[in-house]
Amino acid sequence: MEAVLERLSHEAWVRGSMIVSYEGMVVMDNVSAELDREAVAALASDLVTEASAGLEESGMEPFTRIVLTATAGELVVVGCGQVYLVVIAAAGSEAFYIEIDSAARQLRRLAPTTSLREL
Amino acid sequence: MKLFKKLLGGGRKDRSAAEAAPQLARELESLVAEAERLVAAGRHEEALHVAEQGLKRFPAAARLRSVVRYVRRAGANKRLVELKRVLDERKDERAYKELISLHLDLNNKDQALEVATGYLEEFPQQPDANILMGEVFLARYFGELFARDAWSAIEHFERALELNPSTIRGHVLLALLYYAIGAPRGAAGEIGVVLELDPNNQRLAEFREKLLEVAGPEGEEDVEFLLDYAQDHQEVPNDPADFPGGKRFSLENGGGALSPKLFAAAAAGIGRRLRIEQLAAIGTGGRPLAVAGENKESFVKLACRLDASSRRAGRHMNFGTMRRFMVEGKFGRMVLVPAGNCAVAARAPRSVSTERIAEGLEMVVTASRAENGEEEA
Repeated sequence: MEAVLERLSHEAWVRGSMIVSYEGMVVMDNVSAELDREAVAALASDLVTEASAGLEESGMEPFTRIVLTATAGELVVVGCGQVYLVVIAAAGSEAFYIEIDSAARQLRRLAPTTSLREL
Repeated sequence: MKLFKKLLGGGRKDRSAAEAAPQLARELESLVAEAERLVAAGRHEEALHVAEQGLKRFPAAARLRSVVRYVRRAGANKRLVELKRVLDERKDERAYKELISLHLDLNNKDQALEVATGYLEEFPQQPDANILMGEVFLARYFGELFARDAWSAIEHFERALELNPSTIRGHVLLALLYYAIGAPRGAAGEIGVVLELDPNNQRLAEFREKLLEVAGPEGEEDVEFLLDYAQDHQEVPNDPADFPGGKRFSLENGGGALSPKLFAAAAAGIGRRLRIEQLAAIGTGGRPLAVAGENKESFVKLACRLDASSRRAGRHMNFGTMRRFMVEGKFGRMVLVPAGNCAVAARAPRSVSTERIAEGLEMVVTASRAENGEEEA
């Protein structure tokens, strides 16, 4: 898992990435000092909770990806089984979703069979 | 899909209303064509004159308003470039002040914040630098009603007043904020200080009298509670534009009220083209303005939840202004776009890109507001 985040951190447009449990706990992270990891995790958790609850209430299936786009950055959340991957990126990095999806696929292969205690 | 066809019928009705006044419509068309021709020829001053004259006859004509906006923006952009050049060469206070004001006039809040931050870094002991920083936060506050922006504005105004207690603008802007959030005694108190410094300010004296009439019995106003309440309900009790000199801070309305009927008609065309299955416009406090598609109630609830949490996240992450929020899954792709005093959300199949849905939503909002304006003319 660490290797997955490490690979993402080599991309110039990535300002940080983390793996967060659905309870909002940071499992692993690779974020720059300028970002407050706990605050990012809390906000991502809020987005995930609200989106999941809203979709369930509406009788829709769970989300697979969330993207918040603002003038100065993007927050991407991708579901990976028991956990989700959060990537904080520079603005206008849509072209790199393929890298994020690839990282998420690798995490999905690890997460469903690994309990959070073992991560 | 049937629903969109039904909604399109409403659009025909709206068009027939315009056909009932062919003379007025022709007159407006001719004015718009002339103004646009002058813009195309680069004769901006003349275009501005035609558009402004036309607006006297058709005060709500959106296309004439857009000519005025375009010409003013074009002029302002030229000045922006000049001021940036000055600041690249030397840290000039007047250039900082003018550039920040221009950005605020053009509603470029992110750029205004960037320049104001630079000004404050260069001149931290200058009351004006703190006042302008506070003004930028105040403008941001009236855009999205995030309490954090209001606190930042208060902090900078108070800092300016520490540096120079007779800074009238600091007291005036604090009064404006207190008035807007529903703290009339706080506002009257600040205006009282202004009147000690400037006893002949009749306009503010009269406004203070009105504030004291509605202020009610003595007691402390809880600013923290009022700011949190405004943030949670996405509305403030008073429009800052009603405060003397407060027009710059009028609550964002993104070009006028959104007409549900016209919104639905405009959405019909986009809905078919982008295969939109559900669509909603939500006003302040989660009030649905227009909804289309199945399960309207649950879709509005979902859109409200996503709107509130995405705005929270966008602001706390210090990402600047939120452009759009997208959630995708087997249900398709749901995109939410903030649009002034409302947010619009749509769900479409995953084969339709986020960008196309977002552009479609922006077009729907623009079209319904523009047509609304001309309808009123």
